[in-house]
Amino acid sequence: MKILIVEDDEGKSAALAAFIIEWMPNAEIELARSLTSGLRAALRGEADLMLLDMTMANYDRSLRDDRGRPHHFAGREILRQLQREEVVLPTVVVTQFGRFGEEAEEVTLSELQVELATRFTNYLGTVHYRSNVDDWKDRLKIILDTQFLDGI
Amino acid sequence: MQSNATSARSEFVRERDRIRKTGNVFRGLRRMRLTQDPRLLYRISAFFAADPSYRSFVLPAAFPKRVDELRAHSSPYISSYENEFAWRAGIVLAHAESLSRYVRARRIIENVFLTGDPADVGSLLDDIEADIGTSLWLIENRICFSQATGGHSQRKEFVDTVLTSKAPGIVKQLSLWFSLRCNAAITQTSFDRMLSDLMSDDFGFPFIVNALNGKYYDLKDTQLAEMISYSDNLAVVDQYEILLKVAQIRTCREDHVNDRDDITGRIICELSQAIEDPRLQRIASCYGGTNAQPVMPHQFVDVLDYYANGDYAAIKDITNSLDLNLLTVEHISILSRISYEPNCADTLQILENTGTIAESIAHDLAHILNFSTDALEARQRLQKIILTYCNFSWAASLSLILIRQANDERVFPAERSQRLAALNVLDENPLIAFCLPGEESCVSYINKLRLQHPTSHAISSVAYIAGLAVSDSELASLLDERRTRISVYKATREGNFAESSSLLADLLPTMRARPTRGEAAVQLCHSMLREDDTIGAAELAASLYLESSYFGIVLPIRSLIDQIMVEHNAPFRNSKTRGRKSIAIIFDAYSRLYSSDRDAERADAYKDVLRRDNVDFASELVRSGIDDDTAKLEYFLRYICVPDVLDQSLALDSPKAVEDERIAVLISLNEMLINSNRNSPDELKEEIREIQTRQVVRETSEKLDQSKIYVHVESIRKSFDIVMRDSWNRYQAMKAYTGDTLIENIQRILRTAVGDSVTFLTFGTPLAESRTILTEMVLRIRDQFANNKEFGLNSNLSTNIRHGYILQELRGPLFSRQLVTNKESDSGQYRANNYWLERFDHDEPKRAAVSAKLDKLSRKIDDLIDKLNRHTLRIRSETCPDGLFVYDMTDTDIAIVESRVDKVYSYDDFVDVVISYLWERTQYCLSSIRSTLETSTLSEFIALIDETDLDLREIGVEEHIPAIHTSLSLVKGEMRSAVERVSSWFTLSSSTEYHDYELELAFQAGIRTVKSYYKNVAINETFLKTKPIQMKGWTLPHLARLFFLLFDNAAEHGAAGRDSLRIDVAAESSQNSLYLHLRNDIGSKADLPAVQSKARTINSDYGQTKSIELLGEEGGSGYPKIWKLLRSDLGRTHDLDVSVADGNFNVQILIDSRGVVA
Repeated sequence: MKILIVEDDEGKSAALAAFIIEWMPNAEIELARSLTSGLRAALRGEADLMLLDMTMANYDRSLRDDRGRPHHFAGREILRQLQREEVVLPTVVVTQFGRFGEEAEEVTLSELQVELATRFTNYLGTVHYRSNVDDWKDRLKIILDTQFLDGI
Repeated sequence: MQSNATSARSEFVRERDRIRKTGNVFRGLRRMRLTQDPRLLYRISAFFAADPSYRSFVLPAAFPKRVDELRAHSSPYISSYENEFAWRAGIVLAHAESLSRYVRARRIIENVFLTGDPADVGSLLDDIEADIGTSLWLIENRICFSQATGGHSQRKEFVDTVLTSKAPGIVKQLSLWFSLRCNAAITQTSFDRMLSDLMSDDFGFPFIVNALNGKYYDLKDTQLAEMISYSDNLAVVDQYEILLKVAQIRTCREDHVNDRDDITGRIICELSQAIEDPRLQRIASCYGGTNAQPVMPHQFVDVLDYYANGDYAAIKDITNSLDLNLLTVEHISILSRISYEPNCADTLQILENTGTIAESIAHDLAHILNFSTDALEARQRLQKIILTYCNFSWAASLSLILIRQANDERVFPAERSQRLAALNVLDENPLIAFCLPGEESCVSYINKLRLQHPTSHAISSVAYIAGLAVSDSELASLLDERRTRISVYKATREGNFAESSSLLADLLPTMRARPTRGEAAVQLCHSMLREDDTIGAAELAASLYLESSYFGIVLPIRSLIDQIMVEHNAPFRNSKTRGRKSIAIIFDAYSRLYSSDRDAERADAYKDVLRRDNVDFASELVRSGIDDDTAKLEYFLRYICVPDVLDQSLALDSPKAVEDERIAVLISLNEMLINSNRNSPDELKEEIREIQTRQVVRETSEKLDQSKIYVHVESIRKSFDIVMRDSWNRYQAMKAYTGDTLIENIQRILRTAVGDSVTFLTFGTPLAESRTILTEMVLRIRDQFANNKEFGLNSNLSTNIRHGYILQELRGPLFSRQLVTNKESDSGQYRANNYWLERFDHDEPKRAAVSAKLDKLSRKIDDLIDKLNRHTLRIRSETCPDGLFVYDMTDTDIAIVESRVDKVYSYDDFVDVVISYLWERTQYCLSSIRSTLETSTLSEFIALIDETDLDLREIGVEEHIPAIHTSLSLVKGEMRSAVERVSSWFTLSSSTEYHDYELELAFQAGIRTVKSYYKNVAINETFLKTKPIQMKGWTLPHLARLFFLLFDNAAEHGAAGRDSLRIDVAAESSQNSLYLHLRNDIGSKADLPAVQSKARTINSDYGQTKSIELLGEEGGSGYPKIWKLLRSDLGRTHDLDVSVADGNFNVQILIDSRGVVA
């Protein structure tokens, strides 16, 4: 099973990768760290599951270049593009935030969840991640078990 | 009539007696207004207003001579809409005669503003004031008058007289709003936003402010009642205007108009017979008031007829025979429409050089009605006129013309704004019919006009469009094109879009005149959309938009976007819309003119175009030769393939790649234009130049970042040259003694056998002495290498890294996200973090708790940076035992150096060997520093941020400031980047060669760094030079750092407590000198004496011993570093002077430029 983690926070992506190895030791993990690199990897259509951050910059971090524009809804944009290009890739959104966007664009996590569930067929659910609390793992495990292990 | 009046009088007496019995006149009156039947209130209110005992409660100053005669407070008790309306209408009716005079004067004054000399308005206003007193209306007109005749200062002066008078608050506030409207910097959009903000207070006053400033919200009856009630204490003229606006707002709703029992209608019909005001009569007509007759002057009907016949010469004749003050906006609009026609260039001659508003309107209308490329700006100017004169009836006429272009009331239901404007105009016009609420009102209005002008085919055309019976003979004299157009209007109005599309598609290619052709094209786009012909509509709309971007305002772009979105996400292979350039152009027009909320779809459309043409890069589109529509490709490349769109391409993986692709796009566009024998706009070359300059500055900055670690070796050599040469000669002499080799061999054998525990006593042998000499020489060179005050590593570390750079780089991300604050210079305490704390203004304990945690973060972050600066990024020594630049020289080190020295014979080679060894040590130290920064230091920063996040969660701030947790989370990645950037400075540059360059490059590199550190400060900079100044390449790092130090000072001190900073640099090169003058503003709140004192200190300390001693230390103003850069690194004699003048801090530097200017 190939799992794509699209996440720009290195601490969080390491924690997610560790969780995945525990959940499915044979899983092959690919990491992407921005909207464009995440979208590029997702559109290849090789992954079986994607763990997706919501707020990311346009490009991966590098010393030479800045990361381009920040995107409050980078995860939603990746889901939108996948749907537009008819790529099937079950996706769990893993976010640290309770609110997204600014001013008129601002939405709460629960509002965003409703929107994602309504608009995108790839969307499996959302996990609220906290680096110093472990309950996100239980929530993620339930979603993944339901999607991938129930039939086994 | 007499009996009615008598009856009303007796009703008044009865009610007055009832109030008297209550013993409280005020309460009695309110009770009556709240509870009595509105018809009774309408009949008796005027009696109360006239009665000496009640006048002061009801209408203390109908026509006040001074504003302070008006009552300050209105009643807090507000009754029903019907009661308020009836009560006020009764009072207004009693003053019908005066109000009729007011309406007549108003019309004259408005016309003088439009077509006359504004200076004449003053005496007219004086006359009307003498007749009916002062009022808000008068104040508004005087504000417009003072603006028109004396500009901003005179307007302000007049408004100040109102503000300092004893006028009621409502008058003062409204005066400010009237004045604001006239301000040249206020646009319709910004003013609307301010008015809209006011509406968050849901009570009568904001409703009045909005209505008297041209904004008519669709208010509920209770709100309309409040509006009327809040105008209680105004003059009768203002009460009448507000009553009229209330009636207009209500008349817009068709359900009220159709209700023949509605009290508004019945009362307005009565008022319209008593007060001569076309606006009243029009409302009355909507309610079925049969007596109301629209009066349209014959000469205007003739103008309309001649226009319909195409007889433009006759229009000019009529116009030239008229007095200027009889010109109406509608008449002017006909002149503007034909001004682009052959032989009509002099149509607007009547207005030429009159300096009137009408002249401006005529020229701008000519632009917009002809859909010219200047029409967007012309429309903005017209909107500003409409805003400034929003209560003038001709502004309503003008407004109708503008709105008509996007929503033609002849074919589509009138918008609310069109209905309101139509109710506000004083000059009749057949098209008003289509804006009146209800079909009945429309038909009635047209029929009344037909009765007055039975031979007018212009009016017959309107009747035909409205579906009334019209004979062929009535339309016989129309131009063929006009006849087809009215058939199209009729078909569209009846919903027959297929027929209107077909007629227009045939008609369009034959149309010559830009106004009618443009209107027909817009209408065809509407019809195509109604027929679901998305592609046809998009192609047409895109072509029109390319012709003139003004079409973007009048085309149904929003509806088109909605329709495009239906197919937008359909699979590419099946989609008829995806991949079309026209779709991308429509999304771009929408983004530029309406909203950014479809920018993601614009990027989709861009990618779809590339996909359809099977290319990865837009720059390949020209070479592919696929495109058959050059204009669309040109637009696509120039305006859509911009960085904000290109960065969504998956073929481009960095900002640099995006910039390179943009340059490639511009180059291919340039070639395309040249190949088609067209001139390439200068803007293309300018944009390429700007991008390339940005790239050079960025690359230079990166290279400079990689060359922060250096030692001025040549200067060090000079510092010990004489003493060291002697030592070297002695050392060489001793080494010549061969016995050394034997003893050395014995030492080596013993050490190998028993290890370092063996001790050798040297007894002053030549071997020991030569080692001693060598050690001394190596240590001397090391000390100079590491600690020479001017040229050594420590002073360079201080100048290039520790001073400013580290602090700003590592604090920058936290400061930009408002997570840390600076210290107060006096108290040393951290400034309150008001960005977050102001959300706790009503919860002091929580505010204090949050403040403490944020202060703690600021302090700990600064402590950590301080630790780096003072202890870690230092040469290790007794006073700095944790420094990571370690140059301890053990016996082993000396032995290694010695083994290398044995192979060289000259003094210079010897020094090279030692310096080379010191660089090797430096490399090792740098590796250790990078590792420390990227592991333990980064972890400490992340831990501090996590700790703050946890602290704040424990306090429970998520509900109040959820964004702070988002900021804390996002800043971690930014801190990681910042630490990596700092870490990257600790490398030895592989290339320190720089090409000769223009001085401005060093300026740009310096400003770029400062801007990246002070993201919360908007820094505006200029670089002025009399001619390009070419500098020698080697000076680039030094001058870039010089500019950085100067700008960092400016930002830190000049922008303290402000969010903007202006920096100007002037540079001049003459024979042997380079003169630099930096000037930055210091803000009005700066402590001027303190800054001046600081300037004196800088001047007196500059270049003095005390200051040079501080070179290896951080803090302070940075001027010792500047001295070092100029004197030691650049090696130039120079003068520096700082001063404070005219709110600016000035630094002037004069440098001996020999050897530095190329």
